[in-house]
Amino acid sequence: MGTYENFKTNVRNLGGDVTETDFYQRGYHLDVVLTVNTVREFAQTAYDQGFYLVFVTGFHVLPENNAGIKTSGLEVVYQFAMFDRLCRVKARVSVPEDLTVPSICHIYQGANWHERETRDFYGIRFSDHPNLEPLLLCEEDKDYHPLLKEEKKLKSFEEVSWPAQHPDMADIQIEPSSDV
Amino acid sequence: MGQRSLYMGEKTNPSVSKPDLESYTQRIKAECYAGLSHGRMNLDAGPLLRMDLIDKLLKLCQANSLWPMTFGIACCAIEMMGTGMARFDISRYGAEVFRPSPRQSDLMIVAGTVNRKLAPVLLTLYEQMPSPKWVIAMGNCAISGGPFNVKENYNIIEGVDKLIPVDVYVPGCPPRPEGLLEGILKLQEKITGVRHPMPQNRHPDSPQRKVKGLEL
Repeated sequence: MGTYENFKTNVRNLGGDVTETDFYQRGYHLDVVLTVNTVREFAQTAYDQGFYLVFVTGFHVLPENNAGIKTSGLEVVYQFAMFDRLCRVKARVSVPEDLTVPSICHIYQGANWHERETRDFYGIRFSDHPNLEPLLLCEEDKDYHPLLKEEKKLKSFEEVSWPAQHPDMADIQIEPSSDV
Repeated sequence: MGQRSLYMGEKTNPSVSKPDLESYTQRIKAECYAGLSHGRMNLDAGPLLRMDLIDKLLKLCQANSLWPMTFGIACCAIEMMGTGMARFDISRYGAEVFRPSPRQSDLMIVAGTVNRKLAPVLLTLYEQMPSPKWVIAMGNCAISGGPFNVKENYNIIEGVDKLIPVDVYVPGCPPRPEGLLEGILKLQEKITGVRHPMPQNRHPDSPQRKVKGLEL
């Protein structure tokens, strides 16, 4: 068990982009952006720190083309939390064009079904998953991913993400949690 | 009903005089052995057995002793349970024996939403029920998909009658227990051909009510 600051440093050392956020606005304290290569290391770090996995899910936005590196437009989101103190971490990883993300269910066994569900709905493949069969949808719908959006309904990541300051929260001042 | 054939064979002409039973049986046997019946048992019990009376009696018994399957899918199942409890008391109509196995049931009350993953299960259960069997589609979901029948939904069966034959539809979201009871009475009416003859909660001293069509 390390400290909170240690955890942030460890994640930064992995190459993860860590931002502290207002818990009372967002519902999590740390916003981590990962790459597919660091997902497993991050999960191991979080596991060692004493985090448990809350959920794994995905979402679909407009694909970006940053300096010749195209993204698939799909993102996987993990959320972690702790039992012994209030600390929630949201981690997001952009799915590359081959739609493959490393599975973390060897570290967090609870991720097994979450990843199967994410595969059902978004078609994201989790490499080294022991049993990536449809979980919620029926066998016939194995290649049908209902939560993928139509092209014309896609929005860019900036449009669907939080604004820097939520307008409803602009006038509200809340003391940050001191025990974190 | 008249000349009802027991084995769905050809109907006999009632004007033909009484057949010679022995030669008739022998001819049928010979046909069967020789394979001339083309896979169809050409037995017609019409002139031999009058099944009308016993048929009526049997159907009356079936209608008043429906054994529903314990198959609650969604919130309609809560109403179905309420129907089985003391206040509404489905046992007044003889349908209280909720069986945990389809092999012992003859009524499937589809009480809830059927989605694509449940569809093969529902079909298997229906096929496992012995004949004669009946189906009540309870609630809007079982009838048409109900509130889930929208364009964005990827997983709904738009009415259980797309999968199995339905005898009685009970609309509502969910239907009141009285609705399900009415559905069971309708089913009894469908089986026997008459409206349920005797209200079970009637006082024995109250005057008899004649029911048309029930002449045993």
